[in-house]
Amino acid sequence: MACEARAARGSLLRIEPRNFEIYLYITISYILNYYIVTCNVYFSYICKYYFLKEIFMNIKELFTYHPKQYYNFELKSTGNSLQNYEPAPKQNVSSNIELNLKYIQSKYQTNINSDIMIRTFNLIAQNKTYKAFLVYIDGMVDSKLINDFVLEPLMLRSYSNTYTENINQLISENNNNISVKKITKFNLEDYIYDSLIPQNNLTKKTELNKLIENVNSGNCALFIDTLEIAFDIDIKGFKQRSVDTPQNENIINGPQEAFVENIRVNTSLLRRILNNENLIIESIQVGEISKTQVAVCYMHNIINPELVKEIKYRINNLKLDSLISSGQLAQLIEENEKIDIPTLLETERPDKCSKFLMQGRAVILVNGNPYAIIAPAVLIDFLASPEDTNLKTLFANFLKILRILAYFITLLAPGMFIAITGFHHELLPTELLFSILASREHVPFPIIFELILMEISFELIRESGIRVPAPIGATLGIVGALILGDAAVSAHIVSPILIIIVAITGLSSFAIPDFAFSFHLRIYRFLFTLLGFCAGFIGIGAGLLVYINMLCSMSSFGVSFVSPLTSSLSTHLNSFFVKPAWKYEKRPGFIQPKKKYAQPKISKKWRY
Amino acid sequence: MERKLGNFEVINSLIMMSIADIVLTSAGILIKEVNSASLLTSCLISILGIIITFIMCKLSKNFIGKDILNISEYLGGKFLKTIVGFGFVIYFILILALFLRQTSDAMQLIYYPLTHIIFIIALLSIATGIIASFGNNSIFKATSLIVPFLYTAIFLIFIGNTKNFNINNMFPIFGNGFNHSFIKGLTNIFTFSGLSYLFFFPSKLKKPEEITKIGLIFSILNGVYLIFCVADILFLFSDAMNHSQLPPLYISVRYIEFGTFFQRMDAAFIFLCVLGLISALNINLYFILEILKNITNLSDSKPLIFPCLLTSFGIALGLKQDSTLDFLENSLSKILFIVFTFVVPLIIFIGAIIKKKFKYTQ
Amino acid sequence: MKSVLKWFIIIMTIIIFLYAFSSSYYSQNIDHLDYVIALGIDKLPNSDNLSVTFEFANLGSFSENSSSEQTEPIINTIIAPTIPNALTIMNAYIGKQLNLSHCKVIAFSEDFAKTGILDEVSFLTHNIQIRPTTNVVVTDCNAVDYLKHSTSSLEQVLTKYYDIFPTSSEYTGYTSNIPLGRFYENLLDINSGAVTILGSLVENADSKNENPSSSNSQNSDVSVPSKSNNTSKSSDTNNNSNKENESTKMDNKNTITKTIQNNKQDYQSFDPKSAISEGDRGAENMGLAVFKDDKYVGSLSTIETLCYSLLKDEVDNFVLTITSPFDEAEKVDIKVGDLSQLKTDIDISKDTPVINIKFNLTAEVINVLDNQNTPYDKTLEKLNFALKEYLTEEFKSYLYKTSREYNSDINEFYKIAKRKFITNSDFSNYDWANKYETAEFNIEFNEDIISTLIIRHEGDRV
Repeated sequence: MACEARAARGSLLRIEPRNFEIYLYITISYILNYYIVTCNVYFSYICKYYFLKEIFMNIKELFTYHPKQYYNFELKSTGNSLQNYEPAPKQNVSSNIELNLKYIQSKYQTNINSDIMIRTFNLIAQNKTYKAFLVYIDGMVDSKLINDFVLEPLMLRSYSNTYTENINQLISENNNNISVKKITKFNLEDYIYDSLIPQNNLTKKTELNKLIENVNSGNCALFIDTLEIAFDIDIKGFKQRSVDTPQNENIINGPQEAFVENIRVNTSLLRRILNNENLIIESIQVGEISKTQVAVCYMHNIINPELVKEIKYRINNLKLDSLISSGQLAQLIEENEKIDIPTLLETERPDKCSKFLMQGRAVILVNGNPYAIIAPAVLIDFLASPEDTNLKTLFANFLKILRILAYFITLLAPGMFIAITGFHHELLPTELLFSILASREHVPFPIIFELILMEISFELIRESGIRVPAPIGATLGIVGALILGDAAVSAHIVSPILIIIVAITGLSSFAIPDFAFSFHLRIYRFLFTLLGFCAGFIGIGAGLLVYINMLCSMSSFGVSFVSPLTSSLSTHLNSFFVKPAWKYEKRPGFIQPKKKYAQPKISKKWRY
Repeated sequence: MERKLGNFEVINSLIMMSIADIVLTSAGILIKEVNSASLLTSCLISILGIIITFIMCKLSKNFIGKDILNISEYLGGKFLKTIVGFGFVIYFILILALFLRQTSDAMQLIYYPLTHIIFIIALLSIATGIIASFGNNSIFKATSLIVPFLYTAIFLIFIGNTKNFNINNMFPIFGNGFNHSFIKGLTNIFTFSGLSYLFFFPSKLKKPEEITKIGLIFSILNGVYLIFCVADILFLFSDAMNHSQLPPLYISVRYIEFGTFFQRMDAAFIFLCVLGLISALNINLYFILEILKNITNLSDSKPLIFPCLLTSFGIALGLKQDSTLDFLENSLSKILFIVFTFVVPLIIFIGAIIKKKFKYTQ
Repeated sequence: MKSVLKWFIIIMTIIIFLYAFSSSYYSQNIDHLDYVIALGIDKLPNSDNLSVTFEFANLGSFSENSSSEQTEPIINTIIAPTIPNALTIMNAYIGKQLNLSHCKVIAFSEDFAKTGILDEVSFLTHNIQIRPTTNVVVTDCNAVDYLKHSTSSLEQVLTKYYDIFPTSSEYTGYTSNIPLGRFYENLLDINSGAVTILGSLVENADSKNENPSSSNSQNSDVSVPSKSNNTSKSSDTNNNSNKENESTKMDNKNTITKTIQNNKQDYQSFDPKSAISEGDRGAENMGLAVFKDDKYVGSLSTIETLCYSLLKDEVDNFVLTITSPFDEAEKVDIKVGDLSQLKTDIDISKDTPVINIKFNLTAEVINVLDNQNTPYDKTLEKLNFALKEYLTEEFKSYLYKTSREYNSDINEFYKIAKRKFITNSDFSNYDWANKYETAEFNIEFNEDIISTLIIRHEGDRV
């Protein structure tokens, strides 16, 4: 191509070496091919042995030109986008069963969709036979329930379904006495609903869209000829994870249950802890295609109604195709877009959710995801552990202070180290300074390079530790420790003091209870390292002030993110330090709950 | 609608402005001028400050919820409001530039000998600009987090230096004479620099009727801080540090020693001070933007951040010579403080009250 | 496009700032600095140049496998007209940049101190790196020898010794903690006198004293220090000669012959150099050097240093040995502590200031006394009287020395005198600087010896 361009411009023709080699190869191969073919023709007459012919054929193939073998596929646009957020037109159930069947078959594309089951059968009611069919998704339903409690009562002739409409008196069989009772006119729909299907969750539906939605979530739909309704039967029986211990929020003293993927199980976990009719669980659907079930849970008599309205408003006004996880939902309903600090708490513990529900906050559950979202959330919530209220006040506050210290260490330790060694070394005791200098005598790299190298290595080990298969997990730990620790120091790549700094920073990041929150600290500490390298304590101070202002400017559903910390002295600072269990009189004021007091001044009535 | 401020936040912001000024310059200027009488002078200045604050707040109580621009508009219409507003804007920009320059000078001397001052000023300006862009009155919340630490630091410095104190440094009690120490020394009321900003808060308060309480608490805290700061420097040094280029409080921190581990804590002090100084810069910038927004009826003051910062950046760069800086610190800022904190507000308040009473009688 | 431009500006700003601040970072990064732990300044004889000695810690002593040779500090000496010049030459010589932020001791030689050191001290005080809490020492030998002989095998790291040695003033009183900042202030003030720690070489120490010169030094003359003209350090304790019963008098301007009343020994007036008969460390720091204006005028002995420390309230407890009031051949060791507030009052009504000082002390006798003749309460009374007499005598001797001989208000009585004046001009008119030379002192001790270890015999009244 390059040669052709130059020739077109009239300049001297220069052939690129690459092209020249290719042309040479092609030429040689053609020449050889010609001779080989010619020879082969002659030899084929001479040589009758098949294997020689094969060999020559193979040699010929080796030197002949082969067309390019790459797979040429390019994804092209389909033209007009099918982004249509208009609600689908309502389609009602027809009394003609054939029409319903055809609709279902076309909707589900049953000719290609392998797990959509349609079971046609004859339903017997009042000695009459009606055509009917069941539609369900194989794997989502409990087959035994369908067989025993749907098909059997409907298909089998039994005493219960032998009444005909012509009977207008009933002869008691017991004593052969004749007694006349007036029989009301037979209604097949009511008859099936009231008498035939012994199922607890049975509803009548007229809209086909709703039926299809429910079938998609694991129900089965029963269509009957001549009826303009269909029955929506809840016989979900899909396999799911059982309630297990929390994977990522371990505590020592407290409940060991965690949410699972099924939203109904999760709501039941909440209900078991808060046995109160005021616990409202509102269901909202999100996602045009996925139609993911989202539950907004709150205590009706405690929560600020404006908060509930705002949460529901935000969730209801999401236009998207699918909602897969609670993390995605949290990003969609958060106020802060530019700042990557989380303002909604995510937890897998029902006890933590219950505690926040009782404070007057809302919990949002997403079907298919074991993490619940708690709204609103403030800074101190991310540093609180579910265990705090289970321990004695002194221990809980000690741990809280430790976590706050860990917060600052994770954010500032590497930056401070760089700043002190770069600008403020008079802060170090003389002996420590000299021992640092002695240990760095043979290290060829500047401190900033060492630090970034170690930090990135640590992050790599952390990230690979998540995905490492269990059998080699221990090995990786040893390798990581060896690489980062002993070998690096012995090889004078890094100094020992830096290993300590990085290790302490890493440990402190693990001490932060919330994963997303600690993640942002891990990112921001690189910025502080850069600022410390640039300008020492002044750079870190400027950066810290920007960070503090950033936190102060954030809000979570109208509640300032630094709420209890910046309250005026007159308000009750009741969320910062852990109090004894008998002192939780007031609920957190920044949430503005309906019920401000959680317990009276004297809650220990046995004592006072 | 902007969030209203609580009393705690307002008091902290006012204290922050005063602390920044006291730490950087005014304590040193006071001691240089008045020598051994500085402790007594600072007590008198504190009392005078409290009285003046009380009087001003009582006058402003006639217009609850209105700041000085609104009152000047009531008095003289938009014309007076514009003039007063621009006057304050120029004053605040000068203060901003002075703070920038003084901070950057000190930093360059201590930590950045090979870095041109333009970059140090730029670093502080950029940090100020970024914080100002967050909006939502976040600076007041952040200040209320930082001020308690800064305020406690002066007591820790005082306690840490106790073993080096010589109480006799405060004698002779009248210093260089009664007139020089007290009459002339009272011009050092500019240590109450937070007072200039008090008159812009009423329209932003949750409870504007508590302005007197806010003013009194601020002036008492300011007075206590000033006394401790002056006492620390006076008892530690007799005269030697008066010709140092660095703030005397910083030099006093270098004397603190607890064994061989806690030595040379001045870097930690600088860290705290930087937090405070940048906050002070931001509060200053906030009021500049608010005044301009008020005068020009803008809906959002964010576009004005860059021009205001650029102006003060330019002025700060221009203050190269020591003599200019000295004149600004010692003379001009004192005069401007008295004019914009006492004279102008007093005239406006009294004029507005007279106008109001005249209207009622009519 | 807008976001691309915005990110481009942000990244360019970061790069510019990184570049702009990097010069300060690299100039102050610990990898590019050499830390001076002590400075020594001598004046070359017959020359205007200074000999500035820089002592560096040997980093080998801080590593894991350090040997004994590696604990020796590194000493380099530069000859230059001023200290800033010496710093510049040293920076060029050693390659890395010098940093004085961990300089613990600044030593001036006595000869240099006599010529006036205000310029040098001013430079050092205003240097942003040097700590104002750095100790200042005036040595009666060359500063370089003092620094060389300060090492000891008692500690592997010399900086610890430099940090800690002034704290011995709290329990001995034989030295004092004189930070550079305070010294500089006192030098500037015309009414005040200044003191520094007095350092010297020990005569009978180990072989370190044998070869005081080293190959690193560029000084041509390194001699064993000789006794100065101010023989304020009197004879050693081995000599039990009787002293005459005379009051304190001045022989000439430079000498005071100290005698004690009633043939009693002054056990605190010893020469530290000879008192340390065998020592690992070649230098000692007992005593103080006195300055008037900015010149060295004389020194204080150990007991005088103790008096200074008592007046400054720097000593918490100390041990004194006095002649026993019961038997002149015996000694009594008294531990003095629990020093309650010192009261000083100055009367300026007369022509010369009269300075009244009152001490309240509590003491206990720490050696065993065996007296059969005196009752217990009388014993304590006698001991009290003996101690009071001794201390009063020593104090008066010390105060009159600072006043008459040195005319240097090192105890900062002028600050107390200032209380009597209303304004600075009134005080200036009083001319304290000259009046101090003729000041009168009244000392009052209220001791309370609270206990003593006495062997009681049968029949003794309690």
